This record gives sequence, C-alpha cells and structure tokens, in this order.
Amino acid sequence: MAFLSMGCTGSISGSTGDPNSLDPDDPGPGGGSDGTGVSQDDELPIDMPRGDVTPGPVALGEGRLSVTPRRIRRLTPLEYGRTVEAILGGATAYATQFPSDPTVHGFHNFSDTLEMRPLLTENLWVAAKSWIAGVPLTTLLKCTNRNDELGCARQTFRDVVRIAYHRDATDGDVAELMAVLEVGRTGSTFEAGVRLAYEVLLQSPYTMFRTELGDQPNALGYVTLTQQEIANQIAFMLTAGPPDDGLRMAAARDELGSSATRAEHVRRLLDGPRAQAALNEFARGWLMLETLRFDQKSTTVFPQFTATLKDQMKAESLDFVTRILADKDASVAELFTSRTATVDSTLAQFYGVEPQPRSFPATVELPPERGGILGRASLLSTLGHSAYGSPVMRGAFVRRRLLCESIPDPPPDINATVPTMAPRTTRELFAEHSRNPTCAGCHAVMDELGFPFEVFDGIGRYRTLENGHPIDARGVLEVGNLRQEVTGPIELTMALAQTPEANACFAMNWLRHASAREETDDEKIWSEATGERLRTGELNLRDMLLATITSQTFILRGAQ
Amino acid sequence: MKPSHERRLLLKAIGAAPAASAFLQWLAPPAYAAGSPPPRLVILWTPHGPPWEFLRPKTTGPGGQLTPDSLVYNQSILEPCKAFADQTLILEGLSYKCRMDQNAGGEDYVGHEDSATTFLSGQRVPNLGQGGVAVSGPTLDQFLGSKLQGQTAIASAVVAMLDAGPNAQSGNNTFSYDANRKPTAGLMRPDDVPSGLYRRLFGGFTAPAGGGSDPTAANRELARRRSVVQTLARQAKTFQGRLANQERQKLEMHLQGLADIERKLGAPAPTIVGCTAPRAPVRPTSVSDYQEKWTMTHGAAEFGALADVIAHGFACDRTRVVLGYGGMSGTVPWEPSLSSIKDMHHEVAHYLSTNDANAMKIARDRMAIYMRSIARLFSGLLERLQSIAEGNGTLLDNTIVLWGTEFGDPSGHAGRNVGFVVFGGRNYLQTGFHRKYPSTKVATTPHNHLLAALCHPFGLKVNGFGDARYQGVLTDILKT
Repeated sequence: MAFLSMGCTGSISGSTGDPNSLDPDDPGPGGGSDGTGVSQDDELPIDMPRGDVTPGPVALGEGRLSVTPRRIRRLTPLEYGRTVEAILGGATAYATQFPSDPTVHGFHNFSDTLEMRPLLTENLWVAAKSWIAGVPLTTLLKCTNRNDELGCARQTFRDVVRIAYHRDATDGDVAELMAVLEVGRTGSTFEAGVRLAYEVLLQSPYTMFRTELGDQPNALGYVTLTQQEIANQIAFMLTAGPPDDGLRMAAARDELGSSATRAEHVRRLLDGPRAQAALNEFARGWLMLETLRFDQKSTTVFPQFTATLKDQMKAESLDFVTRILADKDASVAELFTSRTATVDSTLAQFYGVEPQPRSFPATVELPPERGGILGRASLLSTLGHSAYGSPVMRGAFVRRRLLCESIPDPPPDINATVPTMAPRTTRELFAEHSRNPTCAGCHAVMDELGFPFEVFDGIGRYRTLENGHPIDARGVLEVGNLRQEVTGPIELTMALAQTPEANACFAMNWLRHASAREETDDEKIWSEATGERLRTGELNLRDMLLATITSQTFILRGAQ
Repeated sequence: MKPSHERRLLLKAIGAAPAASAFLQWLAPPAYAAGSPPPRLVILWTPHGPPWEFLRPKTTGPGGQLTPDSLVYNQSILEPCKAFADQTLILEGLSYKCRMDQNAGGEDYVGHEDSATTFLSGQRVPNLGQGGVAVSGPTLDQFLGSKLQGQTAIASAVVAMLDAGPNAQSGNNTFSYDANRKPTAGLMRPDDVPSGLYRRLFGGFTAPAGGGSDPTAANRELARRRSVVQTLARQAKTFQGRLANQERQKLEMHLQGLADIERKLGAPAPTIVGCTAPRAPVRPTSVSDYQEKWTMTHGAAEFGALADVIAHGFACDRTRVVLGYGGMSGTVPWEPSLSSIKDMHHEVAHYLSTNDANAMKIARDRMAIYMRSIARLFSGLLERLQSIAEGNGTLLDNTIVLWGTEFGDPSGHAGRNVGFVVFGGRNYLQTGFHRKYPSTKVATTPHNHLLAALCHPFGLKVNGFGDARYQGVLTDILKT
C-alpha cells in the first residue's frame, strides 16, 4: 500500500520511502546504544500487543517515526487560554485575542506557521493589563506570609513562572520580575507593582513559546528533551494546557525518559476530563469543523440553517470523534461506520431519530443511512455551496483528508461560475465534468466519491427526491488496486473503512497533528504499517495515540 | 510520492518572496517636505461589481472633467457624492489582468478569492487546495505601511466593515499580506472591527491637555509601560540567542511587535491642531452582534463611527493607511427597497448579464441601488475628512480614498473593467475626471498601474506594483 498522488489525467502512482531520513531506531555506530542516555530497550514499539508496554524492535522496512529538529512552538489560542487560566483562574475568553493562524492539512497547530505576529503582540499588550485588573490581589499572591511583601512577591513569581514559562524559575527570572515590580510600586503601591510584573508573566516570550530544545547534542547529533519539556509535550498534546501535578512530579523524579512511564500518564490523561478539548482540536482540524461556523447558506433555500443549528452540528461531530479516540478499544472503522450520536432535540429532529428520546442531550442511534463521520450534518453542510451540496467537494474531501491523496487544483482557466439555470438534480449540474475530457481526468475520481452522498442535501438532510426527481447515489470507490461500485453512503463508507489507505491516512493525520509538522517519507511508511494494524484490529486507536508518545522520537530532537 | 500541493504552499509561505515583486525592495523610506501634511490612504473594498451605465458620469466637460451635474441622473451610483465631483476620479477600463492572464483562453473569469487576493497585491495567486496557505503580497497597504514604519503609532491598519463577517476572509485568503507574504488578518476577530481599530489607534491615547494633568504621574506611567515592554524585548533577545535559523525568525517578528509598542509609548503627544480622540465604536460581543451592528438599522451609524475613527486617526497622525474590507458575495443589502434580497450575489449579481432582458434590467437596477447605498457611506467619510482643516486646506485634500470592487460584470465573475473610484487627495492627484482606459478582450489596462500610481504620493516613485510583468503607472491621475 502506498499513499497516492494523482495527476490531472487521473493516473495513479505509488511512492517510496526516503532512505536518508533520520532514524532514531538505528542503534548507530557501535550498535546497541544510541548514546542519548535513553535505553533503546525502553522504547514502546508500534507493533506491541494491545495494551502491552513490553518493548520490542520495530521491523525494518516498515518505516519509523522521524526525529523533529529542535524548535520552539508558539502556543495555540487554546493552549494559551489554558495556561493563563492556570495562572489567573476564571473563565475569561483569553484565546480570543489571537488573530487566526494559517492551517495546514486543516490543522491549526503546525509549528512553522505559529508566530507572534505584531497584531497578536499588540492585542496581548492591551488585554493582559485588563485581565489582571479583574483578578483580586489575594488570587495573584501565592505566598504564605503576606506581611513580608517582597518575600511574598518572590515566592509568588517563583511559583507562577513554573506555569507561565513552562519550566522552573531561575533566580534571574525572579530578579527580573522583582525589578518590574519595583518600577510599578514606585510612587504607587505594592499591589500596583505585583500587577505590573504579572503583565510580563502573561506576555513573556517564555510564556508564548514552549521549547523543544533539549540539552547538549550527542555524538549522533540528537538532543534529549529535558524532563520538563517532555512533561509539557505530553500535557499540551493531550490536555492543551500545562502539565498537572502528576506529570510535574514525574519530571522532577526524572521518570519521563521511560516510555512505560509516559504510557501510564497518557492513559491517565486520556481517561480524565481535560483530554476532551485537546482531542477536539484534532477533530476540528481533521473535519474542518471551524469552517462550519462561517458557512453561509442561502436563507431562501435553507432558512433553518441557523447559527444555533451549526453549533449543534459541530458539537455533535466533535463529541462523536473524541469519544471514539478516547475509547479504549475503538477502531478506525468505527469512525467511518458508527451511528452513535449525542444530540439535542433540534438535531434529533433534524436527523429524524426514531423514537424521539424523552430527554436531552441523548445518546442515540442515527437512522441507517448515516454512518460515521461522513453521515454527520456538519461535514455534509461544510462540503457544499450556498444552495446545494457539492459532490466535488465531498469527493475531494474523501480523497484528500480520508485517503491522504494529493489532488491538483483546477486549471486556472476553468470558468467555475455556477450556472444560473438550475438543472433537475445536483448530479446533473455536475455532469459536465464527465462529458468534458479536460475535467474528467480529475473529476471522475472526486465526483464518483461524492455522488453516493447525494442522498443528503446541502445541509445534510436525508432525501430520496430532488426537485421531484429520484436521487441517483451510485458511485465508484477506486483506490489502490480496488475498484468497487457502490450505491449510497453506507456502501461507500463500509468499503472505505476496510481499505488500507483510509486506515493509513488516519494514522498519518494523527501523526501530523501530534508532531505539528509535515510527515517525512519514513513516516508515510510508518503510517502504512500502522494503518494496516489498525485495519486488522491488531491495534486500536488508543494504541496508536500511545505509540506516538512512547516512541523514542517523542523525546529526541535533531540538533541544528 | 509527489509533494502535496499543500506542502508546497506551506514551504512557499515560510520562504522568501518570489522575484515578481522584487523590484520594490530597493526603495528607500519616503521623505516629506518639512511642515507639509503627509499623504494618507483609505482603501475600502466592497463585493460585486457595478453596472457601468450607472457608474459612468452622465455628461463630462473637456477631457472627461466631472461636474456636480455629471453624477446626477436616475439610478446614478455616485449621486450621493455629487458634492465631491471635483474630488472624484472614475476609472473605467482597469482589470485584474494578472489574474485573468492565468486563464489560457483569455477568459475574463476570476474567482471570489482571486479577486480578494489580487486586488491589492497585483499578483496572480495560487489556487488553493483544502488546508493550503495562500501566499501573496506585499499588498499596497502593507507595502506603504512598511515604508512608513516608525513614523506613526500604527504603520497600516486593517479593519472589517459592512457584512465583512467571517466569510469575507478566510485564514488562508485575505486582502492584506505583509512584507513576508503572510496574511495580516484572518477570520474576523475583535481587533479587525471598528472598535478594535479605535483601540489600536487611540488606546492609551491622551489628547493634548489644556492643563490639569499631572506630568509626574504621566511620566511614572510611561516608565511602568516601558519597564514591561523592555523586559519582554530583553527576554525575547536572550531567548533568540539560544536558537538557530528559522526558529530565530519567530522571535524576530515578536521583537518587531514589541518595538512597535515601545515606539508608540515614546511618541510625543500629538500637538496637531484639531486632533482629538473620537468617540469609541461599541465593541461587538460576538459574530452575531457584529452582524447586527451592520444591519440596515444600525449600519450607517456604525460606518459613521468608523469614519470618525479613520478621520481622527489621520488628523492625529496615528496612522496614514487604512484598509477596510466590506462583505463578500453573500452580502445582505441594507436598502429598504432591497429588503427582500437575502443573497446579493446569487439573487442579483449573477443576473447582471442574462438572456432574460427583464431579469437583467431588474438585477442591474438593484445593483445600482445597492452600490448607491455604499456611495452614501463614502460621502459621509468624505464629509468628515473635509471637515478637518489641515495645512492650507482640509484633511481630504491629503487623503486618497480608493473604492475597489470585486468584479467588472459580476454575473460572469469578470475581472475585466472592474469598478474603481478614487476620491480626495487633490494635493497629489488630478481629481475631478472620468478616465477611460482601453478595456477590450485583447487590450486592457492592468489595475497594477493604479496600485503603482498610489505609491507616488508617498514619495515612492515606483514603475510598477506587484507582478513585474504588469509594470506601468497611471501617470494621468498624478498631479505633476
């Protein structure tokens, strides 16, 4: 199996791995030890038996996770919000000060794209002061003896720096903040000084960026992340916020170099309430759920497509994906086929849930025509135009996001103006693609994957007729060596769930999100191998999440 | 494996600017004659495109000269601006040619996103796949801002208005790209809206006091603010010292932002006559609230508040360049007579050219009404600018107001003969004319020439703007 890339002719070609990519599993010269200070045997391999943390080698030729170069990562809005929340408390919308960041593959967390643009710097400059003004001094001070004001301030800063700067405070950090405090209280009060120093804490580059720099490089050019950096990595990946006490203590005890210890913390966090928001971030990017908020439909055609309905659609999809991801035994196939949904009354009615639950929110089985993520109204609405759904967008989404294929953009000279005279059905509207040989090369592979979803209208409502004409939901799933004719979304999603490509692509997407960067060629092969194990049930989704964190590459970085 | 398109776009986004815009790089910052009021630029963009028969003047004097009567006729879009006829330039025949030339068959078609990204960049733009990151620019607003850096509190500001809501710009397609070819603004956020512009320009601003202020207290406050920003900058530099290559760049941008803040703190209090802070627009509490502020009921007042912020921001020299983007294809019109229209693009704009003569007439009339409602807003802005004395005339004499639109004929998404109108700036431009440029299928005038001309008042004598293949300047609009 290989990830596929298509030319405009519709031809399909395979790919090979890059033999030159970094390989943390290579024992290196002398063999047996990589010189990182972390035992090779301590690594938890991807091909472990489910639930087992016994180490074992990764088979050669099946790809491996690559080492990320040393880097700093600006916090995402959610991460920053949670960090400030841990410092100031309260539920202020700290994250709203962030101008939007570019997305790559739908994800909002790619390290290379997250910067401190001047507008963000300026926003925080104004906002930080007002946030602090809203917090009582008693909350800001973390000391036990408040009679000694300066001693109290030192203790406070030492305590808060640990959260804000993502590391333990140095004497220099405290002295720097004390100097600011001094300026603040000159001609004013101790309280004014404390508040001024807090302004530094909330905007510091040490707060805005967390590090993956490690210490000194070894002979192979790798550095091992510090214990605090590892704790941050786990915490921000799984809870979108700073480490909890459990991780901090483990870091203090120097335990996080052990993959088994990391696995324990991953399980603990995944079972806890704070993992939800972090997994939401993955789902939000993967399924383009942010786009839904801005989706505008013709109010004439879809008057019921209100902001409230959109919010409900989004919430339901997020809940669906994160529940499966956090589930101890879930498979990729469930993401494609499960009909379970948690709905409120409006959405239950929208989906035509029978019988209607007596109370809401209710966890229900959706009608049989809806399976997995592709049966959810959020995605079906997003992948459409103002007045009708788009087989092209739906098909392209399956190709790009669910099969990780690269589809070229339309040639620039295409006139994509939508005809003003509506044909009988949406399918007819797009029939030009198959008649025109210039279009057919690409559109055959997209549209044929989009047509089975014609049973859903532009906002994802089920239908059997369009403008009085029967829906034609026939399509073709063509991927790898498979060519399968399907009718309707269920046949398509059932078939899709069983393809190695869809399973590998899911692993790839998780890896992109987890590593916050583009994949390497080695990692494409890793995804294929992992995807196959997901497909056959040898691994479940939680195993895959664990694998990315317990891998030795999780704690190594390439020295630049 | 073929590298994905998304990846290539990302690599471009983090890499260097291509050669197409390289010829702008050598230019030095502009210089002004001592004591003269500086030029300013407001760029306001609205969706759709004009039925040209209602944008052209009814009659003109010699050389296309406009008179108040030129703009007064049934369905005239510019009638609300008739008092400013001598300060108006109607530019007919300009096209998004750099984008159209991507069409192999010489078609006029440009996409909605293409129009937005080409408008101020003068560059053809890549088509985007899902998850791609558009790269373009620098756009005119940011290019001028980069040259004015340090001279005002904010080098160049971007603001959302009208139905700009979130649909107007996605995170990956915007009107404004900075010198690093990155979008300067994304989805609508509190700081992109009029109240945010007010805060950026006047936050912490104290108008020159007539007495009663405590200079010691003010100095202490300044020392406090400086203490914070200087600590942050020192931290960023120390941090930067530990990093290499691209990672250093991330802090470079941060340092730039901090330097901007420190410069604002250190700027002397404005002593310009007539400089006062305007009333602050009310900050929207949500996307829905933002949309409510721009409805038929409240929109004119909201624009008035925005116009006040812009005019006072210029008068106080807090900034010299403002870009406002207003709405996109799904715009809901405000005119009471159009209240039945829910989607201007699909219900009106798409019918500006159709075989159904009756439907076409209705659509063109409606579009004229819609655009006249926008012209009424412009008129309010022009009045405000004119009401502020500056130099030997008014602020309007030194302020160029560019109205840009999305298309020529929006029914076919035509990038040919796009609607452009310029108001004000008569100290720099030859205003009061209807200028016609060739706009046939074979020969049309790139709108790059207009963008280049608008650099000249700022002392930047460029020969072109954007894509180097479309060099040229609309010299006939410049005052010699």
